Amino acid sequence: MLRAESLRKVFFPPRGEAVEAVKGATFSVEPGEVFGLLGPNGAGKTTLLRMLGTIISPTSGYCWVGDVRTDEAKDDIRKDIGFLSGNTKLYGRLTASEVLFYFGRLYGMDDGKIQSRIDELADMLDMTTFIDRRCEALSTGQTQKVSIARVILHDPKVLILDEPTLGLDIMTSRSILEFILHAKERGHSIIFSTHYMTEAETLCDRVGLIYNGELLAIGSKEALYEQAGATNLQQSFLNLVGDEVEAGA
Amino acid sequence: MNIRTVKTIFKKEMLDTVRDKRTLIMMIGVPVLLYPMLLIVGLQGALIQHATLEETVSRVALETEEPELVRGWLEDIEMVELVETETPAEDLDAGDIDAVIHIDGPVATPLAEGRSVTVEVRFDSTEFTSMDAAGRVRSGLEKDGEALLDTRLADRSLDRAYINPLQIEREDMAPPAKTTGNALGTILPVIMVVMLALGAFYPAVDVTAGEKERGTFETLLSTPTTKLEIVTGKFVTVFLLAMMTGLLNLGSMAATFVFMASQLKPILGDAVQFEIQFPPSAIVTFFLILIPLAFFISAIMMAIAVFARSFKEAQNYVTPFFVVITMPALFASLPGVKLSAGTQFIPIANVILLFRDMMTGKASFEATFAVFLSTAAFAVLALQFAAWLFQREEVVLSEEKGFPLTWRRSEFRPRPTITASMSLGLFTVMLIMLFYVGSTVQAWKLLPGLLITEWLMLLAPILLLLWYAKVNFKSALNLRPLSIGGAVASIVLGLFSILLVIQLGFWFNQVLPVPAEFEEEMAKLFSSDGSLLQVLVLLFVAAVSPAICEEVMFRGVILSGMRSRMGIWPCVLLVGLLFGIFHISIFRIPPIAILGMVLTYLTLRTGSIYAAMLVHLMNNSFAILLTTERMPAFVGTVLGLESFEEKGLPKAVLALAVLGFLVGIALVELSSRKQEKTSSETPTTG
Repeated sequence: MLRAESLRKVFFPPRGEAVEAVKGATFSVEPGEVFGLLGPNGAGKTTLLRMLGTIISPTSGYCWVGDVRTDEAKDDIRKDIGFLSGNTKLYGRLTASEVLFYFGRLYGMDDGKIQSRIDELADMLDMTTFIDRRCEALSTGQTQKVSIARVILHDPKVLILDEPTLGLDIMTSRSILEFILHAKERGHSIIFSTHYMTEAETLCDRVGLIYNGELLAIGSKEALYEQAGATNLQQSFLNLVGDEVEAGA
Repeated sequence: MNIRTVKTIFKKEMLDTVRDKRTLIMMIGVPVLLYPMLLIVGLQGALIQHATLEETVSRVALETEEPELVRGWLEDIEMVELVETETPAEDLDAGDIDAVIHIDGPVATPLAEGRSVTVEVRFDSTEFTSMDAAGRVRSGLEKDGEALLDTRLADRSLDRAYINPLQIEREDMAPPAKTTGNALGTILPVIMVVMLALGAFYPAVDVTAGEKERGTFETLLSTPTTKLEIVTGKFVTVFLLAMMTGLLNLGSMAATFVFMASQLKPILGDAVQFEIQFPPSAIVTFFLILIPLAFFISAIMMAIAVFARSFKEAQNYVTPFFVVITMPALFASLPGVKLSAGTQFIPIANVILLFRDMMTGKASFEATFAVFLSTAAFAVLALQFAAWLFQREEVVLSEEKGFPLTWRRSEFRPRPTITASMSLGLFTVMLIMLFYVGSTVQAWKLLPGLLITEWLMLLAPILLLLWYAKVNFKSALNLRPLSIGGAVASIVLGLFSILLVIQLGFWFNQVLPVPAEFEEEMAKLFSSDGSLLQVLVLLFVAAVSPAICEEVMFRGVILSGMRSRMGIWPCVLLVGLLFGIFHISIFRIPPIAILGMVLTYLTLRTGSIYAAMLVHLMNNSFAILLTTERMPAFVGTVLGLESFEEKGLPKAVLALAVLGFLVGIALVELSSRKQEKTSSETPTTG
């Protein structure tokens, strides 16, 4: 289970004004639930997900992974988290299997366990042909598969995926989406952000719309349609953002 | 810190580096192949050149009214051939001839009259052949001159000694080992510093900015590793590679040097004497100092490089550092610069100076220790700085251009204590301040200097830091009231500890005697005309002030910072040791460290810094009253101090002190139990 309460992040650039990138986000993701975070570029998705992944610490507010409040927890809390974003690349000079071994050890797994897990994931994600190739020689799709394997290697309770399908072809996208559904069946709590409204529509149990650092609406797709007076997510989003812009003006 | 994790990171970084061709070429290719090749090819060229010159006959023209006579002299000179020319100056300039012998006026007549004739040997200093020709002609003509002189002396039946009343001979009494030691001692460490920096450069940039550029840093941050584990793993890689490259370079240079010497020996003969003698102790000490030096350089490079977002940007940041580290190296090689109280704390320069002293056999134990200590202090500080930078998300995840750090007070969150690593950082900064500021003001005027050191240099910045970083004063400084039971227990334990520490000092003095100058310095501190006012001033400066200021630092911020990370006993040992090191001299470290451990123990057990302040005050006052002879006479009698310098404390007093010490510990434990029962507040900070 993943929970955020009044999460706020203020950046203090060396020059210029302080920037409030996330303005008090409160929500939770239950086990076996897929929570979609929708919003345009610069809305604060990545900052919010980084706070949940304990990559950065919130300026105020708290988050919980399971029963543990992350700011009180040691670095061990990340054993329960799988974090993937556009900025979590792989080591080019290492082979896929070396990368997975490296991270497995950092997650405190023993070598035997890592090996059997790699075999299992290589089968599941269809990686056997390139598992011993250096990451710099892999295609985008292959790289993303290795990244996915890296994220679930240690079987975390919580998966935080920041735009996992960005820039992928349809085939690879589909295998990633299938993987998310598979993880949902296995009872992981999943939060993922995306640009693609259709992806969100097919996958998510609940959706949060974020704009300008603020969570405008949270709820099931149907609830959002109703709230925004629309028939799809895209329209709902535009309507809600429109209200926001008007209110601000 | 989990060692397995550090090892995992270290192994991966090594593998990653070894697979990077760029790093490999810089690290192994350059030293092992490039230097020797350049040097050997250069040397071969020079040798061939030299051999050709030897075999070339010099062409010399003659300009004189009496060519026959002069030609007679020249006939004996080997490898010289006379050529006829109308335009000697032009031919020399064109390189058609190598030298011109020019004599104005008559030759035979002045010689017969006992006068001298000026012979000009004209040559072109830009041509090797011309230089050679001039040399051959000159030494040949000098022989002819000698022969003429002998004839003249024989005519007058004079001895050669007659024209040489004073025979002056210069002889260099320095053994060859010493002269080469001096030269090598200056050059070698400078080369070593540059090599270490070169060796650290690529790995340091690769594991920081390189990792950021490749977008893998955030992946690493998403794992359950602590920042300290990441820094340590990466740092060990950089450090080992720097050491490896440094030694590889040094070895390759030494091999090339030996090879060149063997090639040059037949040519130069005995003109240049090579004799390299490394005293074995010098090699051991050199390596010992090389370690903190490599440590220091690697840590600084990592700290600088972590600011950059790309490999290229990091190169721009780190390159000026090369200039910065060569400055102390240049400074150290200036004539007249010696290892002294001032220079032994200048990083890099001190190592170079110490190494030179070692090669010429002049390095003292105290100086070696001071250099090691200060280098280690700088090294730890640099690593602390690097580790701290890794903790800052705005540095590690910075995406925008420019310096990512700000220190606005509004950004700090209130906290109960500073962190353990900040404690260590604070200690090192203060230690370095003490080297420079403290020793300077105390050299200026001792008592005011001490006051400035204690109140302005130690206390004021610490309080300011705590306020600025919004640290809770009460918990960070252990400002809890001292119970009456705790105070009594502290006095008992303190009193007997002081006696034991005095005896430990005596024992330690027998192992490593305190030099006389050092004792004089100490005596100067307590010099007094014995007036009551002066004793009171002394008590305030040297007892009350340290009891407050030093305790705030050690049993306050540093202790509470350490305690947030480690258990009671490691804290007692570490804070005590730091307290000992803070008194800089090796002669005082062991007894003061032990006293520091007792003070730390007292603070932790009573929960109150006042216990440590009380005992610190007792200890220093005791020393002052004793040396100013204000102590009631019976104290000296009871303690048997008349015979202290020869025998230490009497056995009975010692036995009593041990007993009293144990009773003191029991009392402290008892009162801390009682306190825990009565108050719900725990004396530890979390």
